[in-house]
Amino acid sequence: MLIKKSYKTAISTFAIVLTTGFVMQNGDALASRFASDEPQAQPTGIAPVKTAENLTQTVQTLAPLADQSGLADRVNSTEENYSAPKITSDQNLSALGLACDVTLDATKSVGAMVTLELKAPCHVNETVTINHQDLRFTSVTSEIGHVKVQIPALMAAASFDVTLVDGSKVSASVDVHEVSNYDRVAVQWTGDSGLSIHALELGADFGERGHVWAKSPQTVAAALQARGGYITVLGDIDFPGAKHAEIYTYPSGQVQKPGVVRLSVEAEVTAQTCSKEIQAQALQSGVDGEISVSDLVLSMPTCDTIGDFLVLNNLLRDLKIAQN
Amino acid sequence: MKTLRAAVLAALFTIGMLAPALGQDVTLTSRDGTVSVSGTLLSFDGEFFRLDSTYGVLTLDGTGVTCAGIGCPNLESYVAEFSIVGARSMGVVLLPTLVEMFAEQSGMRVKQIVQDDANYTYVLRLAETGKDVARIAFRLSNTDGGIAEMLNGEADMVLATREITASEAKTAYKSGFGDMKRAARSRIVGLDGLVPVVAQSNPVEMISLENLARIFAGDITNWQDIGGPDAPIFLHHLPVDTGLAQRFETNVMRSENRNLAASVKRHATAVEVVDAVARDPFSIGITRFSEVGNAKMLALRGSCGMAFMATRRALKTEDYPLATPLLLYTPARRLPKAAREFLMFLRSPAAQRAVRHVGFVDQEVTKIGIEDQGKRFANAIAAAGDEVKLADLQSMIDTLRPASRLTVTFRFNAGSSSLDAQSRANVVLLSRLLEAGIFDGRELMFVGFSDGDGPATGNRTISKRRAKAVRAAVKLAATTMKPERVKLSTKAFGEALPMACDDTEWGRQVNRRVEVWVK
Repeated sequence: MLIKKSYKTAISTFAIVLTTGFVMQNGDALASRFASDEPQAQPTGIAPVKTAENLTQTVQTLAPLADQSGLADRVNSTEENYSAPKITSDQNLSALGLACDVTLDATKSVGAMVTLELKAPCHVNETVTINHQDLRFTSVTSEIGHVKVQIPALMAAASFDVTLVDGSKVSASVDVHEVSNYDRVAVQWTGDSGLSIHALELGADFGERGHVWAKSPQTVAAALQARGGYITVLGDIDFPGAKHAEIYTYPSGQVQKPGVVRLSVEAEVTAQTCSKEIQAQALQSGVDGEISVSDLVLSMPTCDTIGDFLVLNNLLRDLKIAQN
Repeated sequence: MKTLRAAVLAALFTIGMLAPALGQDVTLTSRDGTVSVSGTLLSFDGEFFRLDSTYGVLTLDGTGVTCAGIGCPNLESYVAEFSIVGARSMGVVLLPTLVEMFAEQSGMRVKQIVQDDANYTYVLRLAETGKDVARIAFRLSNTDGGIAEMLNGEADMVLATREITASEAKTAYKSGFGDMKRAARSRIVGLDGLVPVVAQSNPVEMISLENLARIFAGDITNWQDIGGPDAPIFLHHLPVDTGLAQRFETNVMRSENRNLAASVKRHATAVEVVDAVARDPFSIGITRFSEVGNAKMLALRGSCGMAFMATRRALKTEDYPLATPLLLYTPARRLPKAAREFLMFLRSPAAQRAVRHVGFVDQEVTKIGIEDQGKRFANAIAAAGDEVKLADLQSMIDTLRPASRLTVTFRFNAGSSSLDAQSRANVVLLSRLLEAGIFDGRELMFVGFSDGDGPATGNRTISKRRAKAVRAAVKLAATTMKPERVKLSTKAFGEALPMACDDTEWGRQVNRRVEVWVK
């Protein structure tokens, strides 16, 4: 189904954002949602980086810094008697004198979310591909080679790996048994496709409370209080080959009311996507209860429909919430 | 080199000249090189060559021959192509899930190429080699549209939420698509049912079919008249021309001699019906069991008080009066191997699991213990009296108490002694279980029941005759069954165990049945 402007109120507010690259905006939304639990999270398009602690632990002489821009210069200028470490290739140290060892830590946090933290001091401002089961998205390391991101776990034995530009790979895993309390579905794609999941929870209509999507993503905290589900947007950099994912989580273990959550996927017809094929994948619960992945090719409508949305109601099956 | 005799090849061939002739010359030679035949290649389905030779049209198994000549297909790059058309209610969730499950079981990955919600193509490719095996084109409309596409020669599989009509079958036969009424031309993919729904906040819990017809005819317009609040009733219905809507109009409206009111709001899908109803406490809608959404199902009540809620079990047993089998028709022609394998898969336990997973009713045969049938026996006691004596009930209980009822039940078309579509499929289902030896060492009782019209003794005779007829049909279908391993008996209790009230035609139809009990 092709529709003109879809949402009575929400759409006018967000139409401009949608046409100018909404992924960056979602980075803000994502970061601000975690801001309360995670004071270190950075509200930028770049993945949040834990700065102060790491540096003081590793290089005792460094003071905590809020801003990392020109870090090396400033370190040099503020420290008396400081002599920058001599970097030679056989020492295997970063420009800041940090060991080049790449580490990946996966830590469980509330709501069956996982905090994934990559430290790759010799890979600053580099794109990395993050994998969790079949979920895949691109991120970029900070100026000290860190990435920190919250990922909804898709299975109890949750394994993660990160592939760096040079092809090297690090892995981590964590047990998240709370995953059984949540229903999760996802779509993922490469490049500037502008796909978004829309969830209408237990009879809600578009634009109403209970209509959850990237521009009204809701929070993990609300889900923990059984107030409804939330959207997580992953993939925080825009370039033609960048991978993005959107995950919708519904706290079916918390919400006691049975009912149906309608799920649809929308793709905006833009000058970049019109008359083209969008490659994407859908991740949803299969017959055996495990998340299965299916490849999708969306044939986008012709370019005289730019600004319309291709609305697909059957890519993701509606969630049927049984009485507990 | 010997040339093959036409008679030998005739045994291998099938008729069905529907594919366009490729018009290129090929020579097919047996693997040992001793025999060969030349001609014009008509088609290749990945497994069989169809060849127009000097012996006539021949179909040859591709595994037994090598092909030489400009017309030879590239065996490596062959991709089976077939189409699935028809009922959208089956095509949007149920069939895609089955295709995905089939692919997974066959070591294949799927890619879905989507134009919109009703038009998409599944590409199945081997997970190991990445080679494409099949392309399945979905074009969804409704049952009418699907059958029309088949009659135009444009469909390989038709999804239907109603049985093909006599006139459609006649046209199909004349056009060379075979006898669509034959068992080989159709199969049941899953079961569904028509259900009335209201909003969760509406206090009404049940409704009679008579009142349902009056409401949708516009003769009852206020909830007050059926035990609800003093408020107008708003009507929501499935799209016009869909098999399910037609079923409602035939089985509910027409059997009450009523027509749909002009105020009925038609929606494009069942999802839209239930979403509209769920948001409005004064609305009532018609939907399918598999799509109730956030609305509330109403039970159907007969005038004598017996009520039916649509449940998986009541739809399997057809004890619920508006059960609908979900059918898949195939025209009489050779389908590509991948398509035939998919049809085989539909009968498997894995397919039944997939059907259940997406909210439809599967056909797995299960047992119902006598302890779960208290309501039925309470009905029997309440209805007993002049015609059915206490001794009759006691004799029935003595027979049934040591046994369990199977969900397989046989019912008959209205005003006829022929089995309905779901029951015909049940003949095949039960015969397969017998062949597999599931009931070896047990006794299977075919228990006939009747409606309460006419004298009780006559009803017992009729129900006995029906039980024997069903047993005969099952025996005939179970060709490889070992008769010494399972006892097949018949019993008959006439009108002693009514399921529904006898004062309506639908109630009598529910009561006329042959149940199967195992002990």
